[in-house]
Amino acid sequence: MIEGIQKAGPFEWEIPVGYTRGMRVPGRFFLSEELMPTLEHGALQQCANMATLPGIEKYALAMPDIHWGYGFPIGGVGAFGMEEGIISPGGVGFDINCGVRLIATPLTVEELGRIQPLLSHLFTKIPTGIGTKSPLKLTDQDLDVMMNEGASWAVNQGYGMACDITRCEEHGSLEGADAAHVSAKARARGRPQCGTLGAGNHFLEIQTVAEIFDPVAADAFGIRDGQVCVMIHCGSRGLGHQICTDHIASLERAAKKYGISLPDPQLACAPLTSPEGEAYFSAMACAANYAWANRQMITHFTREVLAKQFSIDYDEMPLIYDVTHNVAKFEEHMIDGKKKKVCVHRKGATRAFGPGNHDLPPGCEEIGQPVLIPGSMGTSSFVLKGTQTAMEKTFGSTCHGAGRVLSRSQAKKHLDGGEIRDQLGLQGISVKATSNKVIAEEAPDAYKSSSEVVRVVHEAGLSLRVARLEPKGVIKG
Amino acid sequence: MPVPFIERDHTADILMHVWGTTTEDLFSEAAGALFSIMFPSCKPGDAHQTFTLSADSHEALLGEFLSEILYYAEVECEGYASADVTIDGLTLKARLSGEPYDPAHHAGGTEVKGISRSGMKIEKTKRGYETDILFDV
Repeated sequence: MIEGIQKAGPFEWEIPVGYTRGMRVPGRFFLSEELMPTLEHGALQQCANMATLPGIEKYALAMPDIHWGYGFPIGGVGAFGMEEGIISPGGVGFDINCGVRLIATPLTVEELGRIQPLLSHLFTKIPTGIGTKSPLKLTDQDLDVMMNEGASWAVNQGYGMACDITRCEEHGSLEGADAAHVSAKARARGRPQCGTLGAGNHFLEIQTVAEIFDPVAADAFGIRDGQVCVMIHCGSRGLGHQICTDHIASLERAAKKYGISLPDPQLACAPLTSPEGEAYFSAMACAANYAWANRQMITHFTREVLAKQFSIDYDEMPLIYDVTHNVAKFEEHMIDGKKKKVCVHRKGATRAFGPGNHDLPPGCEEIGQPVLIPGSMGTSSFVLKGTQTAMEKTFGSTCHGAGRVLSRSQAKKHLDGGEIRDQLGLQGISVKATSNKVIAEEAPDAYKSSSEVVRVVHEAGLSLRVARLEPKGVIKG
Repeated sequence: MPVPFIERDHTADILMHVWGTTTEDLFSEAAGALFSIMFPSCKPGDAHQTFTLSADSHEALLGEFLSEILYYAEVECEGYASADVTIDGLTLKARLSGEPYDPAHHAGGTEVKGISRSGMKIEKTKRGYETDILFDV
């Protein structure tokens, strides 16, 4: 047990004001006793650092997949008031709107047959890995519309169905995007990369629904036992990375200008109402919309491959939902009995709105928002539903994945990519990757147990289990 | 010759400790650390880029320098293996050398999304100048 933290509930821990100098509110994080040995000092310090930022409401929060990142910890959630509050790229990350979507298919695992040919077709169709380019040639004008409209732009270009939009958080488009705040460098990186998966922890995975916990919610989400689904995990590519880089430089100067003391330079920030803060938000929204369009294009490529191989129609492959993991957004939350507009930063965390809230997909108004939690390579992924408890405790937020426990260098030192590929093969899971090294870095043993992380959010009531999916095949950059 | 950087454990990303006898060496070795992550098999060759940058501090300059390398690598589709750096005050001139990036031959590197400013602090020590650099991957 790390000194200085206090138990605040069965799965809830408090970092008291005073843990680090300048904390304005306490920190709160959610963790089981079983996961406590995975908690790092660095992650705790980063949660405390969040609490020093001006205008932070109630608590600096962290979900049970908390781990040491930069700026906010991974799993960090912070809400900032409109008058006193700030916006910071340290609460969003370089990969703006890195997120996950899940696509249903009418297929069963038996109908899927041998998976390797399907993975090869997907790997060929979807540009994957460093240095791969989009088949689409975008002009600067196209990019402007894409950054303004998000997933709708892709659907209007023929990459998807109109109903896909209603199954995305924020309908796949953040309001307030302004391409005037996106640099020529970010544009140059973004133009050739739309519709590409990227590298590192990004993936496309073929999964089957192995267990239904909540039949009513599963039915509302369009999930049934034994069904084959496709999960896509990627973000805003080089465009988002460059926007973060560009604005950290200007926000570091802004923090000095507005007299904001920073415990970590990556927490560079500016007041929400300042020109610098508004410029970052409108550029970040452009990257968020680019990421939604990107996932929408990859969805279309996936449907093309499946339709051809299995003679199924596109409308038999509806989008179950799309969530963002790295974003800052304006939302209304009840704080001390009053409805208040706040800028919620989620860095490696997922929105989990409960029943009766706005922006729930059709048919889910009384169920709650679908929440998608990818497992690590070779382990279960989960579909959960948002709750009123999350609205009350975490600004409608929950975990985003398993969370690393092993650094990439340790993973590469101790794990062999080829052996892991063979072991996964014995479990009936096929992997197609650009190298064995990426398999070692992203190996199941490098992550916390996704089942345990999900158990914590379920038991704590932050989101409730609806279904468990098992991996069958994965492509990685 | 020993490599003038070592990888330290960091759960989510790649943390490198880098040193050099002068600030110019430090910057050049920091670029070398980045190349070792992204382009382990690229060699100095026909691909060259030169650029000039200014910033408010040496830390900001180092962050912008490494970010500029990420930018050129991506838009020019090149993998670099060496960087010559000259620094005058808070202005830097750099020349990168490498080869056109070919996924068929150069795969095996790890994509770096950004250069974090977390924990970056250039310090004067017995062996010159040292800093930690956190690469977001």
